[in-house]
Amino acid sequence: MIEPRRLREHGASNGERMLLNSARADRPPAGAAQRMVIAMEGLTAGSGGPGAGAPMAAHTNKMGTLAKVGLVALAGLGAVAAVVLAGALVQRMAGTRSATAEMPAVHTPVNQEGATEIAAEPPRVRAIPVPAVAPKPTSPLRGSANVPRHRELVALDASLSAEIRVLDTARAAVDAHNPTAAQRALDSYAQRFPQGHLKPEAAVLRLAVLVRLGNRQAAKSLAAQLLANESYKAYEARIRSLLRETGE
Amino acid sequence: MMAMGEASSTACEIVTRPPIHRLHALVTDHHAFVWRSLRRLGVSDGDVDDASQQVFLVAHRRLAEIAPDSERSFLFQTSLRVAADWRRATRRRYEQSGMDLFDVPDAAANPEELMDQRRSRELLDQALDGMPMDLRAVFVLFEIEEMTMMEIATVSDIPPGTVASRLRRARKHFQEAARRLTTGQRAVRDARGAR
Repeated sequence: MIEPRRLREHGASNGERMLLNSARADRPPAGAAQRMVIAMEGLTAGSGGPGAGAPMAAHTNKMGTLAKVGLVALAGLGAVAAVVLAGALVQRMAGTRSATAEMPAVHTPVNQEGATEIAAEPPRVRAIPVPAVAPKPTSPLRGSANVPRHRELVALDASLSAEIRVLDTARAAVDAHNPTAAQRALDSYAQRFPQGHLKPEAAVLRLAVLVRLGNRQAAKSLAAQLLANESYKAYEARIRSLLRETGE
Repeated sequence: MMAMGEASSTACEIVTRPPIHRLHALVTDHHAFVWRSLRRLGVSDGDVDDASQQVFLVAHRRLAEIAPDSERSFLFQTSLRVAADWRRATRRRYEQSGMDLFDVPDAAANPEELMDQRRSRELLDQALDGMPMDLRAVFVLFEIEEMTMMEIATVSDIPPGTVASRLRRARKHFQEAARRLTTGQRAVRDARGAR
């Protein structure tokens, strides 16, 4: 993908450059990582199980025993049985507990959708509030196969740059209260990029144009379609805001 | 920032490593990145250590679900949520005390002041504070952390097109805010000085 130049290198005023440069000194104090490691040991010690006076040692001993069991199974029971036991060993090490005693024949908890949470609650942490919602690590569950090859990246970039230029024209026209020009730009986008990567953005801009043109019925109809489509969930607030402008 | 030993381990080795060791490796390899990210996403100097701890505690709970080549992505997305929660909670605390956290009575800045690193850093925080979090994330990763667009797309789990679009809008936000902070106040001060 062809990278845009950084503001600091191109296009920034002196003031902007100084503001951006000020962040280059951002770094944790010396030794902070080591202190964090020690703090994490203390905070996570409770999740090693009851009576874990030396959490790291007890945890390591338990893992060592389980590893030995795994090796015996590998030697004595054959490849299939070894895979089953290895899966159980990995699951045990991860600390997950399934609701039932059953386990799949081949188990890779890292890539398994909907893996159960570690049952132990983390110890209380002082000061700032705990996040209300645990994060949804969708990206970590993807494999490297999703990374496009270079040829595809170059083609993607060329398309994206062109698409962004057209949509920027449309957006500027909307901001300038020139819905006719915006509509022309969006029609051009639809024609040039029937499978465009920024179709959702274009659709929301189209809605804005309809609202500016005063075409309430068409705007309401388009808004309803977009809101019913899961792909537009990220744009919901914007769509509803535009809908309100029609008086809905 | 991954250590060489970490990079050369197979995925299986990393996954089957005892959790506490893997957590240590996560902290050692990514602590600085998490710290910087939280700071640039708006967590104050005084709270960033606690916020970092929050991030790694969440990682500890979710260790089994984190693929070895996606640790940085997981940590960044967690940092985003921790920073957003921190800002909401901090704003509530200030509002309850009758103050507005982000209402700074005098954001004056002349060229001489901008040369002062600390002052510039405060002003950068102000310039970024008005930006929606999704734009701010892309902006700090590209302009300050200097990641590539594809890296940002991976770390943030958004399409490259969305990265480009958000960066463009974020730049506009930033430049308007920077202009306001550095020019407007100077004009007011000059006018005061002229009286």
